[in-house]
Formats: sequence, C-alpha cells, structure tokens
Amino acid sequence: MDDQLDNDLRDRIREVFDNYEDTTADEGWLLLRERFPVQEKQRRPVFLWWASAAAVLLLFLSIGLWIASNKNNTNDHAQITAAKPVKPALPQQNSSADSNVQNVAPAQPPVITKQSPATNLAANNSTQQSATKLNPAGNASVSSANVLANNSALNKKANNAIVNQPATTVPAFTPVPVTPAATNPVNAIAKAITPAVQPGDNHVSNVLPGKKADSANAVLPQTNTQQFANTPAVQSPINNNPAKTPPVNPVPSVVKVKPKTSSMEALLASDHDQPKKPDMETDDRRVKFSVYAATFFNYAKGSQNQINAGAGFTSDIKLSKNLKLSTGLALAQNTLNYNKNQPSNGVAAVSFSPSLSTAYNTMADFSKVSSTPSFKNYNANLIGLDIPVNLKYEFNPQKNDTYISAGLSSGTFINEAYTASYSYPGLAQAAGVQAQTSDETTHKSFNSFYFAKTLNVAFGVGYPLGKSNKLIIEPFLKYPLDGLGSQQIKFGAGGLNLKLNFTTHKK
Amino acid sequence: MHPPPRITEEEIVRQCKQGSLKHQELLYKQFYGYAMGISLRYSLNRDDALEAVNDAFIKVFNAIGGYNTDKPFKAWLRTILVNTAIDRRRKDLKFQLNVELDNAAPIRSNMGPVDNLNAQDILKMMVELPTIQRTIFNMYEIDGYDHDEIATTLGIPVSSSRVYLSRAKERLRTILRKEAQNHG
Repeated sequence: MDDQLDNDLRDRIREVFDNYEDTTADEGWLLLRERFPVQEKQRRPVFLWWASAAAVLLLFLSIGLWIASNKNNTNDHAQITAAKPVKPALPQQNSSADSNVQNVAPAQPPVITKQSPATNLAANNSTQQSATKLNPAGNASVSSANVLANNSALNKKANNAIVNQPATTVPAFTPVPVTPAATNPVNAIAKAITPAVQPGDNHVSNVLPGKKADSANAVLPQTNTQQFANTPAVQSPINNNPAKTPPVNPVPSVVKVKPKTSSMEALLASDHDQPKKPDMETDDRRVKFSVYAATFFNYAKGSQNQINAGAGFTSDIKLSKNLKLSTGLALAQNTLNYNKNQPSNGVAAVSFSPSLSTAYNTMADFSKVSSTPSFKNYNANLIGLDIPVNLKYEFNPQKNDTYISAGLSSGTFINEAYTASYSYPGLAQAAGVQAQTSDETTHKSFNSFYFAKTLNVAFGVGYPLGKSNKLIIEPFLKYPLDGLGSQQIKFGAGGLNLKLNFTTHKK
Repeated sequence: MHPPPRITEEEIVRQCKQGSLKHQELLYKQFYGYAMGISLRYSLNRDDALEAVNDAFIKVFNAIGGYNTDKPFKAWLRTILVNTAIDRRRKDLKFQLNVELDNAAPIRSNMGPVDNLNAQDILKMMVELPTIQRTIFNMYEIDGYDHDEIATTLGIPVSSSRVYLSRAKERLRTILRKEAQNHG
C-alpha cells in the first residue's frame, strides 16, 4: 500500500516537473546576463581580429623591408671593409688604388674570358654605369693583345703587369670635365691616375680622351678586360720574373696605377652617394604598389556603427606629374546591427515579412502555440571584395606625399549573412511564455556583383619608412550610392587606412 | 528571404560551442522550464531556484566546449543543476543533519489525490520536508541517483541516505493521507 503510494507520487512528480514550464525565461536571461556579461565582450576581439592580424602583418612586412634595405647598404660598406685588409700588403704606391678598386670590381673573382660582362655587371653595375655617364671618354678599346699581355697571377701586383706590358703611346692626360665627376669614383680614379700615368700603361687608356667609348657596353668589357690582367691562365709570361711578383693582391690592376692617397677620401665620400642613384630612378616608376590595413566604422541609416577591419593592396599608375590612377583589391568585413529597426531599403524590408510566419517554426521546440512575431533586431555581416578605382592628385609629388583621391568602388561579397530576430508578444500573453527566434540566411560565394555603387574619398599623408618605403596614413570615407549585397542595404564606411608603399620617399 | 531552417537542439549546442551569444540565449530559454522544474525541488523558494538555474547555465556555457554531444543534453544539464543546487544548499544540508526530523510543522494544503497534484502542490509538500530529506528524496526518486552517489555527493554515509529517504517518503505519505482525509 505504501509502496504504491510512493510510486504514484514519484511518477506524478516526474510527470509534472519534466514538463514544467516557466514564463520568466526572459527575466532569468537578463539576470544571467548581468551576472555573466563576459560572453558578449568575448565576441569583440573576433571582430577586431582582422585588424590586429593586418596590423601585425604590416608591421612585420615593414620591418622586414627596412632591414632588407639596410642590409643592402651595409653590404656595400662590408665590401669596402672586406677589401681593406689587403691594403697593408700592398706597396704604398698602390694603397689608395686598392680602396678605389672596390668601386670598380668589388670582390669579383677574376674572369678569364671576355664574354662575361653580364657577370660583372651584376656586381659592378652602379659603378660601371657611373663610369659610362661620367666618363664618356673612357673606352673599351683595349686590345685583346694588351689584355692578354696584362694577364697576370690572381694575386699579382698591377705594377708588375704594367712593367711587363707592351708600351702604349699615351698622350698627356686630360681629365674629363663632367661636373658630377668630382664625386664619382671612376672619375676620381681618372684624376688620381693623371699624374701617375706612365708610358706603357695600357690601363690608363681607360680614361684617355683620345679613345673611343660610346656606351656602357663598351665600358663593361673594358672593365672585364682589366680584370683579365690578373687571370692565372696567362700569368706565365709575367711570372717569369719572380722577383717582381708582389704579395697577395686580388685587386685588378687597372686602378693600382693611381698613387695619390688624397683621392681616397673623395672616393669613399662619393661611394656613399652612389646607392641613391637607383632610388632616384625608381621614383620615376609608372606603377607603384602598396599594401594596407584598414580599420573603419560601418554606417547605415538605423544601424548602430560597427567597428570592422579590412586589408588589401593598391597599385598607383602615373598619369601625369600630379595625377595617378589608383586601383587594387581589398577584403573587408562589414557588419550592420539594427535594433528595433529594419534596413530602410525596400528589398530588405520586404524580405522580413514572408519570414515571419515561417520564423515560428524555428521556435517549435519551445512552444506549440502560434502567435504573430514582432521584429526585434536585424544583423548583417558581409565579407566584401572591393575593387576601387580612384584618381589620386598629389599636391607636390617632388617634395611630399600628400594627396587626395576620389573614385568609385565595385565588387562583390564573398559571404553574406543576415540574421533577423523576432519576439512573440502574443505567445507570451496566451501561454505566459515569451520566446525569441532567429532567422538566418547566408548567401555564399559571390552572390551578387555591384558596379560603381560606392563613392570613395580619401586624404593621405606619407612618411618615409626606411630608404625605400613609405607609410601612408589615409583617412577615408566610402559613401553608398546604392544598395549593396543581396539585401540591397545602403551602407558606407569611414575609417583609416595604414598603407605601406613600396617606393622611395621623395627628396 | 528563404524560410529559416528549423534549429535543432544539436545545432544550438554546436553554435554555443562556438560562442554564439544568440544561441546561448536560445539554449537558456529552451531549457529554462526544465531547469526550473529541477531547481525548484531543491531550493527554498523561487528566487533561490532561479539563482541556482543561472549558476548552472553559467557552468554550462563555460563547459560546453567539452560537452560530448553524443550524450543527451538534458541529462548533462540535470547533473549540473542538481550539483549546483546542492552546493548552494550545502550549509543548510549540514545543519539539517542534526535537526530533529519530527519537528516539522504539519502541512496546510488543499491538495487532493496524487494524480491531481500540480507543481505548486508538490512544492508545498516538499517544503515541509527538512532540506536533507527533500534533497535525498529528489535525488533518489526523481533524478535517478543511487544511494552511493547520494552519499558521495552529500558527504554522508550510505546508510544515512537510506534512512533519510525512508523518512522523507514516510513524511510525504503522511501528508498525502492527511490531505486525502481533509478532502475525503
């Protein structure tokens, strides 16, 4: 009897409380949110993750480029210092010339044949080009006979080669009166050579005005032939006189003729100026590339402003002195949050209505009672692929990097996610239950393409970052000309681009 | 806009694992009634029950990443809820262990036969039980714990668990019979 009562009571309690319904879920949730607010904040970093990642990427990229550019500079200096230990082993007469040699052939191994100008060009490019420009009188007319005669051991002192060379008639030397030559090492060499010119020194012919030299091609082989002078392959005739064989000297013989030590300072000083020349040339590039990270607010009528981020690259095509065409590709996240409001455009508003009846199905787990849902909030999350085409006007491209740009954007959305939430006030009144549903539709992979529907306006200021890069701070505004995405929501963006430009800064 | 897909319990749990606040809310509201039904049986009053429910859901949200979706969510939630409610009443439980059981006041209710009992009637009956008896009765009879588990959870001997259960059932029978006489 007691057991039966116990069992009946137990079954009744289970039945009642397993199906227990409570109307205070919303209040309970609010209380829980007060005590457990951390979850909401945890989503913020997810939105800002892109910005952080892009900023870190940009930072590492700029540091890497800065280090790389510094490395190039230090390599030039390293070549100079690496050759310096050789100096003490040389006779004093050649000491200054040894330093100068690096400008002509820095650490180049001896080349046997003439067909290697390209090889030498890699190492001697800047110097040789300078030589071409500043020393048009220089030439490659050194005869092969002279070259062969000049061949000596790799470590042979140039003087020996000079002594053993067939005599070449050398008229009085006149320095080339090219203005920048004062700072050019080759010209300095020429000047330094002047008083030391000796008959029979065919190397001096490089700077002889009477010789023919029209182009860099003419100069390059000439430089190479000077290096031949130290080639072991033909050293035997020169080595016949071991008494004249100097200690180790990997320096080509061409510049060892120069005895003047006073020119060395000028050469070293001029050497520091050399790397700037290619920079000036790169400034004239017609296309410049940049990468950038953007942090911005999305705005739309009725929506709360949402912080978002993006990244991309741009290429600037020079149209005229002050005008450039800027285009590129950007990936950006756009989020909109409408509380108690629907997007103002027609398509989005209509799209809610049909879903109202079906939205209830989502909440079938909560209640069996139907009611008319009321709109609660609406979220849109769009990951866009933006292709801007802007005209950029630089105020003074020679002196600074301040500009304004304006243009239009086209593009598509890689992913579109729209979430509408509804509440059921009728349900709450009828059954004492207030439930909420979520209606989510996701359009994936380039659902629509928009053409020139966003107006871009930006203002940029560039700052030098290293020797070959610029950091550009660019506030921008994107104004919607029409609805975007599958829901045709008119939204814009305003924020800041941090742009890294892979070109030189203006002088 | 396309008709939204029906959100299943598994989908809600999966989204909660990814930290979706909206789905946490959905989960909370979907299982709120069920949770309150459990919590009320272990708590002194409604406010106490609600706090226990919220404490339990906070534990659920924090630990849902490690939840095995192969097992029923309700069972997992029930375990967390019972433990949370007991933890909140643990001081009372220890105190009640030394209380003379027969000092409980007689119930005043208008409840009828067992089949007609509603949630309020049952809760009124249970309030008449000492906390330790109510807890053990709920754990054993309603929530399916055995005496070993109850003894471990409450930190009491297994024999004590049996005794308290026996006394709880006896007390409930007494209450029911008195009420039956009152209505009879």
